[in-house]
Amino acid sequence: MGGAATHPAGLGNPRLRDMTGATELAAAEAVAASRTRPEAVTAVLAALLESLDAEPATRETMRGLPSAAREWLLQWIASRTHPEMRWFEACCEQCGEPYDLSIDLSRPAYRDSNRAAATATVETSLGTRQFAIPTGEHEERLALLSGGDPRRDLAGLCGLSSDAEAEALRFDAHDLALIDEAVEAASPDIADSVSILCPCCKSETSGRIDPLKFAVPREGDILLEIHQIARAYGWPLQDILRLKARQRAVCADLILRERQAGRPAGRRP
Amino acid sequence: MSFLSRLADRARPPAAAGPLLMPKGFVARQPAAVRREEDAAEEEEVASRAIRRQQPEAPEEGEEGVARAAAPEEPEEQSAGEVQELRRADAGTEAPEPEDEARPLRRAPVPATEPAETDEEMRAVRRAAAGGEGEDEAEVQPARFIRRAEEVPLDDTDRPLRQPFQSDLAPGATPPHPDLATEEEPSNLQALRRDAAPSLPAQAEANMPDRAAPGSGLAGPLPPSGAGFADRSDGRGAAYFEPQYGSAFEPRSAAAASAELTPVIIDQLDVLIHEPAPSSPAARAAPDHGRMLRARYLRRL
Repeated sequence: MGGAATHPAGLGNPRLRDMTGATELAAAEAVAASRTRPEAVTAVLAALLESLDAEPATRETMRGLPSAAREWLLQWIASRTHPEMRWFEACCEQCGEPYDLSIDLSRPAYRDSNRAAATATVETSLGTRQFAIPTGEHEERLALLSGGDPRRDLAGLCGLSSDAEAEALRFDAHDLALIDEAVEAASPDIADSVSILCPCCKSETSGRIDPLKFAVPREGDILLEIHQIARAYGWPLQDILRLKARQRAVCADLILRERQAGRPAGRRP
Repeated sequence: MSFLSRLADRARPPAAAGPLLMPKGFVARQPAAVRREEDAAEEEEVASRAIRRQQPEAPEEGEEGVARAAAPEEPEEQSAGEVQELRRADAGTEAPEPEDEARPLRRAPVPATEPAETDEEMRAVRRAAAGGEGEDEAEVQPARFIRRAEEVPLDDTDRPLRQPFQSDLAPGATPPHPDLATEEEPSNLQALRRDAAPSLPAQAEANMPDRAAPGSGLAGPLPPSGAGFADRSDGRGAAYFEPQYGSAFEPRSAAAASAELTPVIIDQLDVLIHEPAPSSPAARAAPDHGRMLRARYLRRL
């Protein structure tokens, strides 16, 4: 039986790239250029990770990871790049009141798969069928589908039979429930949402954690800092991009403070 | 929610999957305006955003709590932390139940208006949303203001360098003063109600008994000084505290409490801190733990 895990089984040790301006800008551009969230996840992981053990982190390798492993890497990246991040806020779904919550991203709640097999076998009304563990590729394709029954859509995408998509339309509710259970047992899982009682209205509410929303720097922020530094110091773009992300932020902040204080921030003659 | 449904939620835009948990103080900025007057654009961008700091106390790092709900068949790795309540109920009231899961923290209502603040108190958050985020526009967070209490001086070195949730903002990140070492920090697993704003509308008084849960050690918001008392006077020309405000502190019934309460009139409470200015630059630059201690005490009044 799979149990609590601090590191996904079978996933190599991730290694972050040097967090320079170039790395951050690449990640920010990847997010901005992605059409869907799964695409953004693939692009961000490939941009920020250097390798998983000895294997280089490319878009293909990130796309082939199980969905839970991808989310684990996102939370891991968020905890490494923002170790001070601990308190989160959201609004209750019922009363709309804001509340605060403490979450430790360095310890994601991850569960390895219960079985060693990479597929799930289900006895459906159409016969015995096999389904693959959902990966990033399945997520990317799912995101392009119009909203329907997600179980049916994923059954069609993950089905390993030659006519999986057509058969997915013929599965009844019982088949879909069996497929869901079998795929869940064969797949790892991670907690990317919380379910709590609102401290104001005492009703149950939930909230999602999406590191893409706060852990990846925005392109505009980076370019603004680059602009401030270039304008004040006259450094070329490549030199600024080679700065560590924190160094660049410190320089930009110092420039800003000097301007606010009324002192000219710029090159000395 | 089924496993495949949760997977599908990950593939959808975040706004469609429910409310997002965002780091405290995180503000999604609008794209920087492209204008000839670059200085004006930058200054406007910086001065228009601020973050409100809600919780000054820092929870203990040893009492880690992880709020997770979607990991199935999983014994959650959480430890029950001790609850530190801002105002404790008497022994007769119900004791707080031990918590085994993370609980959210309630916030104080937003104060009506804030006076203009100096530049040292404003915290600029520089974030610009990328221009191409079509599906993410709905998730732009409203602007929030941060206010540094005047008791806590800000040095240039203490300002956050990049993000509002840097170490000096996030609770628990700053090293505690030795004098505060014995104080219990609020556990991450326990919801803490925040102190309410000092001003409240008169209509809110009718809801006071519902908000202060007995035994939770949580006091309902105090009524504004004088503002709701005129209608509640007992005919003797003196205002008195509503019984429901005292219920959080005394186990007696409201009727008995109202009959026994001595009318108390408090219309103003001034706290004056007088301290000599530091004589040397070194003393000015050193972190003033004495002021931090006083500031912490004042916040717990």
